Amino acid sequence: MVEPICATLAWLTPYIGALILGFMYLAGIREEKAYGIVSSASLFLAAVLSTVVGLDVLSNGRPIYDVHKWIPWINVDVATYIDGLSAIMIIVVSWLSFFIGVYSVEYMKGDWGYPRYFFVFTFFVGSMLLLVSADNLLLLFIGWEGTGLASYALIGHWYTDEEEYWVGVPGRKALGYPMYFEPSHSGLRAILFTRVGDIGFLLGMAILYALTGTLSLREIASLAGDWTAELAVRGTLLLTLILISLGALAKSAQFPFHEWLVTAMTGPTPVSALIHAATMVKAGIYFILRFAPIVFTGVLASASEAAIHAAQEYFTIIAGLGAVTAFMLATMALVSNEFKLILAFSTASQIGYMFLAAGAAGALIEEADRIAFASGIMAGLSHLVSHAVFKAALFLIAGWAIHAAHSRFIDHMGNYAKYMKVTAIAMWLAGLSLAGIPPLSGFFSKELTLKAAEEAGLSWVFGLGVITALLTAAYTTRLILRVFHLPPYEKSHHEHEPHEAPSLMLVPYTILAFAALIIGLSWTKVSEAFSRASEFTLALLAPAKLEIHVTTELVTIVAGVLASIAAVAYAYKVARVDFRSLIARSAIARGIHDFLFDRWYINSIYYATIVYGFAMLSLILAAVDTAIDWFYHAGLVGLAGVGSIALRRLHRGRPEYYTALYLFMASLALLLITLIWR
Amino acid sequence: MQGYEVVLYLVYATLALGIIVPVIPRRQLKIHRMLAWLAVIIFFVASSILLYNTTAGAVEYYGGLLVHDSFTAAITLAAAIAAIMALMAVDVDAVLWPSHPAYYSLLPLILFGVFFMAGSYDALVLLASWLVVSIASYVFIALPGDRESRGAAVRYIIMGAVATLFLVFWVALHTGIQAGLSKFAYKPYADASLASLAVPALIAALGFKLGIVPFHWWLPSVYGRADGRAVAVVAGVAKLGFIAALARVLYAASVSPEVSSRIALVLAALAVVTMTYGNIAALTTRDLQLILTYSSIAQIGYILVAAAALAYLAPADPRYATLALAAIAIHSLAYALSKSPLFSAAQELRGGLRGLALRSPVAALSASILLMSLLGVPPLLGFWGKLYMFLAAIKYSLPLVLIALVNSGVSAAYYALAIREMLAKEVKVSTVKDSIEASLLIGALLTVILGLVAPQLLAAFTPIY
Repeated sequence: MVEPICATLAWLTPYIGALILGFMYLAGIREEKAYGIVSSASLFLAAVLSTVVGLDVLSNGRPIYDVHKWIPWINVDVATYIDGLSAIMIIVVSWLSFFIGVYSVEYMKGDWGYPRYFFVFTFFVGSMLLLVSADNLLLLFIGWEGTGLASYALIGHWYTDEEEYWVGVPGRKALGYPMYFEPSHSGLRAILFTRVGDIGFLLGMAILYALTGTLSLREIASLAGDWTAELAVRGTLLLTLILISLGALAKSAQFPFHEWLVTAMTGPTPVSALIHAATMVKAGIYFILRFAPIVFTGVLASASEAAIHAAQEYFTIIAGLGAVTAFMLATMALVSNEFKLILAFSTASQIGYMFLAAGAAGALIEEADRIAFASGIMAGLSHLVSHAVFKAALFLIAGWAIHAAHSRFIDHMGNYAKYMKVTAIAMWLAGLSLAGIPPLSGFFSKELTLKAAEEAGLSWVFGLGVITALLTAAYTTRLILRVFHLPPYEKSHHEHEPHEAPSLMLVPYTILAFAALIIGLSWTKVSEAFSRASEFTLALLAPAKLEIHVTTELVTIVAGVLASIAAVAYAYKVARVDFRSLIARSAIARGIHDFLFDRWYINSIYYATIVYGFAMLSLILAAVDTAIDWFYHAGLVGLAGVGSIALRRLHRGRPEYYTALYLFMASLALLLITLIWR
Repeated sequence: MQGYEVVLYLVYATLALGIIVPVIPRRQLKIHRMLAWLAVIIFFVASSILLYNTTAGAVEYYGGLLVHDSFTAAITLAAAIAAIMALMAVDVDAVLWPSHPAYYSLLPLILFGVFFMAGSYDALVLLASWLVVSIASYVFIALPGDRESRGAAVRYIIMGAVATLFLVFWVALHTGIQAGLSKFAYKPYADASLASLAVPALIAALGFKLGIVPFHWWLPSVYGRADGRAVAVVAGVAKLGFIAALARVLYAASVSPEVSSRIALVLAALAVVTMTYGNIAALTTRDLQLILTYSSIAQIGYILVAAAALAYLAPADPRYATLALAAIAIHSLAYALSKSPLFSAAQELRGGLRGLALRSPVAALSASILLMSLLGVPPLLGFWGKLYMFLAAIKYSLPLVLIALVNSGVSAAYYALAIREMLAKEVKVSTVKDSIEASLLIGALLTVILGLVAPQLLAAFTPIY
């Protein structure tokens, strides 16, 4: 049993690291190495602490709870709570952060914003660890917003907005709205998009606090029977649950909030790997995994028909949104021509699977099968973990590939397998894991999510999931072939031979890629650990069944995926289909391509309705405001001035005139009063 | 009762001193002033004793024709203080006027009249004291002898005569309603049709004297053009008697809820018109005397707000009616403390204020305090006056109070502008005479000190707060 304080120290360490980095900058230290070392050291320490704490929890099967008094009058403490779910999360998050931090040391070499980068990066890790180990919603929200802030700062890291850092094809427009984004603009988009969800999250928190008088997750969980019943009686349970989940949907870039993640690719690649693939975007699904069991057990405890019905609808909506996101973003990935953009689409799509699993698990609430529910939740978590690993690897590889080509477009890359063997192997491992090929980790975790959908009887969700699996295989294969095995479409401006990555970059992504393989090979062990973890996860408290049985569906899906890979490989390598000329020739093909390439026109629709809609509203309000301003500062004053002078003009100093006025007024008053009196 | 008779003796002594002054040869300048000072101080002592006596209950003279209570006694005292400040400000100046020694003679006479007018409990007594004060006022305006003052006095006399007719009309109606009795307080105005004539007649008459819109026509050309040192007495001393009479008569008239609510409605309407008129008219002038002139109209508007509440609450809620009365007394005191020295100073400064702070810091600071008291800045006395008046009025009508508050806000513009003028870097005023400065300083000190103890003053008046 480790000291509980270690759990708090685990998330505090990166914060302290960031603080030191900040002071170093203020002290005038500009030595790059110092920043790299301090940051990596704090990340390593955090990783070690997290591992110690996490393994302790997982092996003893007893959550760790560390509490320090904070704000007594709203019943909020600095409380860290590490249960099964958190234990797995902190281990994964801390080690990925460390690896990517090390990679960054090399990647960011010579960058003019080096100290700023590591300050924000380290701050981010602290926030992320706080987020996944907080016991109360307020603390969780602080971590949540910390990651959002860091994300904003890092997306806009190159805020001088040079064209090489943009996302999208410069000059391209869809429905009249630009489809290329500068870093500073993207940062703003990210923070505004997530803010929409966060407002819902805050309101939800306020509702929970109003009903329970606490923000502690454990207490909210223990009171869940009461507040779900209360809300169900008022008919607002579904609304409240969705309100609380809005933050999670936005954070995890699920439809209709997915747009920000796509353009977040303007940040440095390690940032994309850590924040926009492996960790921060997982905060949303982490919250759902954390919150869904509370809702599930609470609703069952309330034993209210209305509550069960509302919860079922809620879970179905979550699953549905996940499936739609998975499918929609996968289709976009099919036609994208930027390495990181493809991975970004893929990330949102894969997180869709996690939402799908969590939602599907809860949709069975009527049957009150706790084990099936735990299995679905843990399926979501397992896909979260395996995706974090292989997607981080893919992004780190992308970083090197983009560096080598001096271009973010895959059409400028080609035949990299010739120049960088190890990278190619890592790419294939991570890519096939993404595609879901056994025995890689992605295969198992994705199958588990699909199984959850199937068992829930949500056939359309399951169907979308399967189609997405085929699409995933297709775009992954296209990406790998295009970059590693085909000659470049277009010559890049930089004519020099690519070479293997330096070891500080190569080692991290190779380790991660092989981790995908190793996790897959040892899936029996891993799934056991997950299953045990679910037994002591807050409000879940049931063993998850994570075995994969060979069924007809399974075989069909794998066969489909393999066929999808083969088809793409055939089209590119053997038939040598020229998709570009196909698009140029056929209007239908061009229409489909543009629809997908311009992201289903959703971005343009948002700009047309929301951005410019509000801009219009703002103009109208500004006009109204100016009018009000004019009324008070010019109109009223002018009127008073004129009135004032006019009133004084009445007094011209002539007694006969005054007397007449006096008598007239007196008579008038007499008349009026006599009239009123009756 | 010892103090009971003493007060009357002292008031008559005031009158006597006023009458003796013209008998003294014109050359005995010092004696004139000394006698006037003596008269004013005697009156001050008399009204102080009176106020002390009334704390035990109302004091009746002449078989109830003259009744002084705490309210009327306080107003009388305020008039005495204002008279002292006016006399201090005028110093030896009045000696140079062609009418000398009329100033020193008429000031005690006005005080004498105020004593009777404030305390009158009979329509005929009111008429008599009205005539004493009015005629003294007319003459007073003409005293400085310059063209403007004489012109103003003529206007005042002509119109004052018309207003007095209305008062006589009211006396007749009042006496008629009460079957020949001219005293107040015998269920007056139970007859609605006659009352509907009597009330407007009274308001037209008192409205003239007080400057209630639309009966105020004479006021800007008299207050605004005549010599400020004379206006200081008419606006700061004589007017208080009329305020007391207004409150007294209306209070007495409001015997039944039916009548009182109608009177209140009339007063409320006049209050709104009056304060708005005064405030708006004052907005665009930078001349201190004109600002004071129109702000006098506005101040009467605020007092009318409380008077409306007083009329309305008299039969229904006597405790709050007492609060309204006390508030009117406090506000009248604040008004007199500000107006008397400020009008004198305005004459001295010829209306201009630019750079006064550099030329005479004490005068500028004191004048600022007095202006802020008129505006109602805490903790000055004027603030408490307004606060209590509006608190009482809330019991009657919230919209009325809101309108009064908005008006107070509007008035900030010209008071603040006047204060800013004084702070200007460019100096356009001459030095202020010591006598004026002393008068301003005493006014400001009293405003601050009384402001600090105002809640205790009120507590002595009424058990509500």
